[in-house]
Amino acid sequence: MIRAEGVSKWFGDVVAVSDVSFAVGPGVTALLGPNGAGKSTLLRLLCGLARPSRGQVEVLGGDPREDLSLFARIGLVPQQEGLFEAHTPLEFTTLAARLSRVPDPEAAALAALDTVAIDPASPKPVRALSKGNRQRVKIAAGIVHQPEVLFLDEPLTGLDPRQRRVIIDLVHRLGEDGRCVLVSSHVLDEVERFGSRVLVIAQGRLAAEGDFRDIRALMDDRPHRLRVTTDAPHRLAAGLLDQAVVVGAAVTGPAQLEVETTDAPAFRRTIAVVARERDVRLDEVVPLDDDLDSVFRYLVGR
Amino acid sequence: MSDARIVDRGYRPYDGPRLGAPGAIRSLVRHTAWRVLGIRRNARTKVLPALSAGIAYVPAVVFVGIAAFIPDDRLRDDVLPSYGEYYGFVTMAIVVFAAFVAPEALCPDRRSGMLGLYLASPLTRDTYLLAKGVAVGGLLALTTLGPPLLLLLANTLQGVGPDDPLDVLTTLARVVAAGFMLAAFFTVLSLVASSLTDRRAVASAGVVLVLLVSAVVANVLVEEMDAPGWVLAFDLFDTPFELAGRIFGERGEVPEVSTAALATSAAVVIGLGSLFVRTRYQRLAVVS
Repeated sequence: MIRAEGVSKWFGDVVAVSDVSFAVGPGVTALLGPNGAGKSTLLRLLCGLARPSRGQVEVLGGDPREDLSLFARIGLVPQQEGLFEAHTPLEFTTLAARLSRVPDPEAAALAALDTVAIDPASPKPVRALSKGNRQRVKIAAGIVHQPEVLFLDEPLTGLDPRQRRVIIDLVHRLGEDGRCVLVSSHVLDEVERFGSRVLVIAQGRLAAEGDFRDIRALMDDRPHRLRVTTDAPHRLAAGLLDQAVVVGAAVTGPAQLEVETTDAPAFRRTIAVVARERDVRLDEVVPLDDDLDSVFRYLVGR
Repeated sequence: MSDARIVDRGYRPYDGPRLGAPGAIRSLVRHTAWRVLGIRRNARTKVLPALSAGIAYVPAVVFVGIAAFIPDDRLRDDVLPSYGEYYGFVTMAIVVFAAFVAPEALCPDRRSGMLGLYLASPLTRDTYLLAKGVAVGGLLALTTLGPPLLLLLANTLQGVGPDDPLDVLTTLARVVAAGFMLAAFFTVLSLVASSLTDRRAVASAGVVLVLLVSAVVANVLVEEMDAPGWVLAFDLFDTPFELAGRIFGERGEVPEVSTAALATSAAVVIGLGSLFVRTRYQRLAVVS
């Protein structure tokens, strides 16, 4: 549904996005990167709000800069607070529906506000709403025309944990409906909750794409770190080193062993055999660096 | 099957055209000119270049206006300066540029370690200095050459300049010769001062000091200590402008100094100054 081919964007001497190529299908994909990595610029390029300096962007089979009909099929929830402050949520969302030429704007606005759990009868103007509710109104305006592709730029910024949960559930629902939802964020635990498929951007370049667990598996040069809880860590470490399935082992406690392996499948096959042969009880085997945080640190720190 | 991929963000070889040493020189000339003029830099860095350009061109524009709008020939002739006299109006522009703007070309490269990076490119120390000299000299020529050319063009079009085509060509040749001589003289002076320090302020002070001290010493020697008149040829402030006047066949404030002495003095400054800067850069230990 979204395709970028060799996309670069520069502003004078500053290269914001450099030679990025990827494809994104239906479902939720997280656009991940540190502050200033080029996430917002990339979203603007994908929405057609900016023209690539080089390369091609394709959304729903067309160029969002050229094909104006695509705007009716694309939704954007920007990071900036671009709200009409004096409007009520219903007025604001209805206006967004009108601008998208929805046949029945008021009905569409009511449905969108219902989706984000905002009371459409609220007489309060947008400026009087809490940060979380303003964010939800922005999302309502972004989805009021039922877009097939939805871009959300840092949607959880400034929200409390309960509001975050609501927005994350909403994003999941939109993805499960078959829409393509691209969510940008620099907060890793947020991204992990959106889903496992990620696009990682660092210094304007694409660092990785795909399921972050698969990305971790591709990192051949980074040994996997695992913590093993056992009644005889020294004996188990000796056995694992003897079988050459680990490249390092450290006894970190009376019942704990940390190992590094470059061949995780072989390690999984071998550890139980070694434990049985050495008469060692295995209580727990926990990967220490297979989470998104580790994957991100490895990718961005390269 | 997993569609995950890790993209190599590491070293990417340059696959564009390679322009070699000529390309590097052109690039350095262009970027030095931008830096000196404050292009793509903050507004503060644009003030002095703009001031130099203003001082240099405003009189020319005013004189062109006078030539165009004052019909009385005698009044017009009294007001309008000759080509040689015109340099009196742009002296300050040239000095401001040479002292305060041009040091920007050399000093920051040594201070920031950029010189080492430049010398890691196809540039040698000589081609580096050539590029810097061309950039500074080219910009100085805009103040030494541009306004008299503008004046010549306007006067010719108004019918108040040289009438005969041969006279026009002769005046043009003189304008070009005087402009290039002044640009070369002050470029070398500025580069010499800039080669001695990596601090722009010190280089600026050095240029001003050399100009003032040489003028004071030469005049004191001649007027108070009865030194021969040719000593005034070592007044580095007046010599180049006096020589520019002589190129137009005009004698200025030091008529007692021969044109040959002035020309020798200018040639010595340009020649020895260039040699000094080259030697200094050949011996410079470059660390980055």
